[in-house]
Amino acid sequence: MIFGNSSQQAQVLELVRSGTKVLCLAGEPHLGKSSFLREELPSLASDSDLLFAPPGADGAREARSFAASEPVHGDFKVLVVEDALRLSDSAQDAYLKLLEEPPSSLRIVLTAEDPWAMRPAIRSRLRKTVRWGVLSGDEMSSFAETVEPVDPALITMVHGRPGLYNRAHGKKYYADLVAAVRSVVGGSLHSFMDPVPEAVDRLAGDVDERSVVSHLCRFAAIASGGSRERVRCVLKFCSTLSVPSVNAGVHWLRMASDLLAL
Amino acid sequence: MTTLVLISGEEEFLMERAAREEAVHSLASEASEYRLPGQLEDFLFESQAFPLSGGRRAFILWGAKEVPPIPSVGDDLVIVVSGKKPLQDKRAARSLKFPKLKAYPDNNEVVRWVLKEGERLNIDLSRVAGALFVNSGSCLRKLSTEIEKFSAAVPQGTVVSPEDARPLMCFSADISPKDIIESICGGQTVRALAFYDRLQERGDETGWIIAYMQRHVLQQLRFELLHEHRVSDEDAAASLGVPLFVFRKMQLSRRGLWSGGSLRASLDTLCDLDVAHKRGETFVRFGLESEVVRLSEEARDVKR
Repeated sequence: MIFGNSSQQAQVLELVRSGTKVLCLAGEPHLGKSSFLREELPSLASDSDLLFAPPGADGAREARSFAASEPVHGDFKVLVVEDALRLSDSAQDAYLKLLEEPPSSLRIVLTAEDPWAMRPAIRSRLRKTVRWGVLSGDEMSSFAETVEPVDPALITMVHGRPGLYNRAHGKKYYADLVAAVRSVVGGSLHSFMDPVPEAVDRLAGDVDERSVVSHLCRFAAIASGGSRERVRCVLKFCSTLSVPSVNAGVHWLRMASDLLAL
Repeated sequence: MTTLVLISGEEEFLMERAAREEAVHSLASEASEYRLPGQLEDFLFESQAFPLSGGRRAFILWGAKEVPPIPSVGDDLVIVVSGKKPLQDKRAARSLKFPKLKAYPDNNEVVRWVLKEGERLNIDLSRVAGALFVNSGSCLRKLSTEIEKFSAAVPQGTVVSPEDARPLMCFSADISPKDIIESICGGQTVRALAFYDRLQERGDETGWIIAYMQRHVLQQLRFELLHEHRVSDEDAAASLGVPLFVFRKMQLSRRGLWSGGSLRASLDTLCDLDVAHKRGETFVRFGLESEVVRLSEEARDVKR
């Protein structure tokens, strides 16, 4: 069961059924857009008529060959392209033709954090955009009850993002990260001399994991009650995590050193 | 009857190699690998099906949180690789654990591992083990690649000399960012820039130089802070993660070359350059060059 955004859920299903060719689900990461699509789309299209395109240019090629054939069971096929903003230029080019002239039996559903950040050529092909929002307190509590044991502190921390709750729940290194952010905002010598938190140190190029760390650091800093200057240092660190190949550990220490100097 | 082997530990490379060696040594006619939990069903389906080749099969299961159902019939080998937490199962024929090797301070397990790897491949690495460790750190995967190169290049039973090793080793160029750092610390701006240019001429080494300078500035900043707080040499060396003699030789001689504020500014600049470089900006080379000049001139002024 998908919690929250119930009117958006109904709207997306209706749009796919009614024949909207290109549809975009917009909203921040960790709100449950992909979970919703994975849970609900199989009710509209059979396995052979539904494709979640793998990331990258290879995924685009697979999508084009998927689109080239007629539906096996139903009246239409559904192609899902997740995180469209992360597509490389060559992958975007590969999708462009498909988005310009989708076959009549194809429905394309994209997910993206901000459709306005897409290339204008792609953005102009979006027929409808449905915006996903954060969950309300009640919805978030209901969602949290599905993952035992309920972690009330984490519910508050994730600000209505069920995906973030799910990923951080029960993982000690994320709890340690939140504690470390609180300590580092305080600007103690220890926070600079101590080893970098495991959640930061273990970060490699995985964009999802970077996004989880970035969100948790951001929310922990805001909740810490530190001054605006101090929170700004943490937010700067969070923004560097969007570049996949930077060494997060060094940038963490830079933040700790800046906070120590404040 | 199916043989079960459990492997756990922290060092991914050793576990990987051990698992694959188990599969090879079992003389299985086919080996397949599955990532759990995603491919659990595939494994169950395959392991319960009759083998196409008719011979023994090896299944390697990565990322297991628990021992999955093991087929009770057949003569297969199932290798279950878990993370840090070891798994237990009465049916296991063997249970292997791979703790992370320690690089410092007294028990240098990484260097011992390098020597053992040499023995395994029938070459003597005692003369180059230290250099290998300095070049590749404690990354066993990198070290293993280097050692395999040596074993392919020198006759069996050879004592590998630094002269044999140097042309084969990665990052074994005659110039490295270390030379830039030493020139900066000596206040030799022209020399530092000459090394910088030579490195950049060879190829774009901006990322390598930034990473090296970040490490240097961070270490120096930590040292200055420990010094400010009057921490003893022994405790400071432990806190910086270097042996005491290295601390005395390297850090103490560089004390006071830069103020804490200057080091912080440098760290800020280097981190901004790092992000810009990884975003593909082209101005980074010039920014890095001016940081080299700034740091070396400050060190020169202090030395005067």
